[in-house]
Amino acid sequence: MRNKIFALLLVLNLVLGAGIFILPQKYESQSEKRLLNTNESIKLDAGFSRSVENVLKDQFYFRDRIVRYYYKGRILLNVYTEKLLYIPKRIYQKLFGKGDSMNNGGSIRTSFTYLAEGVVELDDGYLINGILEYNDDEKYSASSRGYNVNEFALKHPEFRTYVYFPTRTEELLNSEYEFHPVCQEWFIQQLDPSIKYSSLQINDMQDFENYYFKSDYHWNAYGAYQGYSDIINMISEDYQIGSPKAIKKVIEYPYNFYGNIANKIDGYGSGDYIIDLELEDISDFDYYVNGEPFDFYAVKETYRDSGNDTVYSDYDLYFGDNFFLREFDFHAEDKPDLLMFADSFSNTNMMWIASHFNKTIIIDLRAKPEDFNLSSFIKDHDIDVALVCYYYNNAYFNGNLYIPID
Amino acid sequence: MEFNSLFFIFIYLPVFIGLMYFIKDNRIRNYILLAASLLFYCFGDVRHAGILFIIILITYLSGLKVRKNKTVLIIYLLLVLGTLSYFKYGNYLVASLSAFFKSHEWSAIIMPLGISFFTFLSISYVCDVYLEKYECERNPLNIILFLSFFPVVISGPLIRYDRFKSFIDNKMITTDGIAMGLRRFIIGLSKKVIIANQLNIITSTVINDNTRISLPLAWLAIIAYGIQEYYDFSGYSDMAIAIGQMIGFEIPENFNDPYFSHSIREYWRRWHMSLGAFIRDYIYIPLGGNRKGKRRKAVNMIIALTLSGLWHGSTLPFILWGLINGVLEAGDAYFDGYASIKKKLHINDGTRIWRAFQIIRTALIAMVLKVYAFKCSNYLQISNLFKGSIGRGVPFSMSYLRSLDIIHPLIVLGIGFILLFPYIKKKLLSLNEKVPYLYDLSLLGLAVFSVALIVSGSYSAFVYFQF
Repeated sequence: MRNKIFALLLVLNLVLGAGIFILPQKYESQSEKRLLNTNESIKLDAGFSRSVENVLKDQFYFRDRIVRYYYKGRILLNVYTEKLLYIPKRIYQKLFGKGDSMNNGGSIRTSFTYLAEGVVELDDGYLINGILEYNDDEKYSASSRGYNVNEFALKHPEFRTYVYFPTRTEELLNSEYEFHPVCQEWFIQQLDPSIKYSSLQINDMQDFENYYFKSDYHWNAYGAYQGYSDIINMISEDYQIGSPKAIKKVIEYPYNFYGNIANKIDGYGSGDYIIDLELEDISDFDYYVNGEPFDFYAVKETYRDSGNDTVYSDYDLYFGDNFFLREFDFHAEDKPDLLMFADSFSNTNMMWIASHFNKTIIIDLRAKPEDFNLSSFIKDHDIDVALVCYYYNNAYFNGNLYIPID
Repeated sequence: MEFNSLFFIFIYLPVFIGLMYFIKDNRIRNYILLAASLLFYCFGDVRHAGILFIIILITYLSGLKVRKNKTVLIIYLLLVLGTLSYFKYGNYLVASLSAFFKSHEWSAIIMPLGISFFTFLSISYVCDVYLEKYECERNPLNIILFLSFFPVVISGPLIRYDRFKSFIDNKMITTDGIAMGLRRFIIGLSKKVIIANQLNIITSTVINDNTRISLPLAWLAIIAYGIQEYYDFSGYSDMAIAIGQMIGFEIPENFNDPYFSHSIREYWRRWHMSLGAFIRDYIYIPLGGNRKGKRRKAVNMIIALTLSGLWHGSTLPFILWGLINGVLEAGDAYFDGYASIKKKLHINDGTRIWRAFQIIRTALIAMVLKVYAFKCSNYLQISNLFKGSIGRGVPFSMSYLRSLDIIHPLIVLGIGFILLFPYIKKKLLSLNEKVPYLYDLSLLGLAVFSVALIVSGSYSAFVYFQF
């Protein structure tokens, strides 16, 4: 009897499995901000097995709840492990009087509040999908970063300063799932009204699908193009730099692209298809990296020739590495000169932006040499426009990206 | 298709078992098995089936003619091993040609699924017929069934035709067999999904980010990989054996607590046992085995295991892995377990401490050798892992460790480690007799958890990370 009952599990499996294809299906995942695979996604080609499996995974019963409890479990595990680990630290501190270097940066977390999918508020910080994002101090760092940008702008009234966030839009400010718009608010509140800012407009799920990689934090080429258009539209209200250039060509690569977060989602099984865009009317230019001439297109040619079927964490390899100082010279004397503080998001679109200016200097402050003096640098270069373009985390929390006010 | 895919668990397996159970005609059952096997194989990529059919054809025809015919055997082996070599090692040739002839683009060779395994199944059949262990098979359907038998075609265990033949002729499919097979399937699934896949997070995170490997992290990755690989492979074998059990075919066991071996020689009798038996029967013994003196025996062992390394992978680390294992095993055999050295050092190898030392030593050697061949994908990773493991890497950083978000895999590592112990395993399995319904309920819980992990693995978290 016992074995008969157990064997019936197979029948149950079949009923459940068939039900996934027969019952009404969900089309989007709020928490993941993406469209889900449905029966329509099933392809009758070499991708058949994967497409069927994707439908089963995306449409599985109580999927959102399963995932939420899984992440909640991981968060709890992290939280209580931190608590356990903190006890010997406290004992050590009491015995040997060691300072804050032993401190985790916060008190023992005694409670948590589940806020949204994968987001938990702790006593002194937040865990997002199990990763500690910030504690009490960092909670307010967004304000200080905004203050820093404002200081820089006020110190240099000879040019206008703009800010662009290659992230989500203010329209999602009220979403219960969004956290960073709160930080964006703190940041923006510090800015003088003369400083214009904008961010990537994400209005619906399709925009997420269009603009971002699944396996990487970065925006893809389309997202970068939208960001480029936003930036040019913003600056062109005050300077004669022309309108955003149209896309001339879409270059597709047959390779799977596994980005910076590929190993955190579905192992390495998922990936992205990668494309590049060529714009119209891009004239010849000189390109320098840390003062030395550099072939701007060489990186992409290397990628194209690599022939790898799978490439891991390849954003920098494809879109270019991060350097302290990059310069474009488009020899357009009638156009202004741009100074841009940027991170790796701009690797994708900095050339397009630079094509609207005469000279463009792009500085990544994370690679700043110790003896670098920004004020002297600005004095030596004829800057007309300044742009701060950081991904939200670099904009709000990364201490390396404070603009030196020297 | 994989055993741990939702399609297999919720659609394929129930339909297959249901058809095999309710249809009693053995002929029709064979056709169902054939269709299921071909569907399983082609589900991933139908292009791969072409090579499978070519091997089947060569095997069938060779089997008809090979009895006491060395010429046919040699031609057969050249064909089959040549095909295997082309797919396994051809990409090196392609890469070399591409580098040499820069003007011409050579396409990469895509290796058919399971080619290593069904080639070896084929070799075992033809060699057994040559050695007159049994008569050749005249019914081509049976050869197709044997070489495409889906529980084993992708990753083993390697089965022998004589046992399979009796299964083809008669199948005892009972509810009890299905239930027992299902229980084992769940255990295998849990091993793979709950333990092995989670441990992969540790090994991938540490080894892929190879610029920051400190001494503790290096050894964490080495041990985690050793345990991961065991659970991954033995879990898969459990699922294969379970499917066999469900349809009345006894697939041989593949693992016997290998990390509790006292020597590398013993280890290779406990790890991937079906491959070990194949190497013994079709490589080691034909080379002379132990019949031509100690020295020749040692050489034969080295050759056999080096070829095993080559079979596992086409790069130098695999060959070195096989060679080193061969040298260690040969040394152990040649020096009779180093009895004379132990005697000189007054080591009593009957003591518990010494036996514990042997177990730990053997397990660590096996894990260390394995991780460089099987996990590191380039020489930079090998170099950095090695440097880390001997303390020449970066200093250990607690904050870096915490940033890796590997707390839950570390817990899984602890659980996986404990469950390796034969005593613990025995105690848990004995619950099947002592508290049967609780045991079944626990298995059900494991099944649900495994499925939940498979589902949550598809979660494309829109995450915020510091970078």
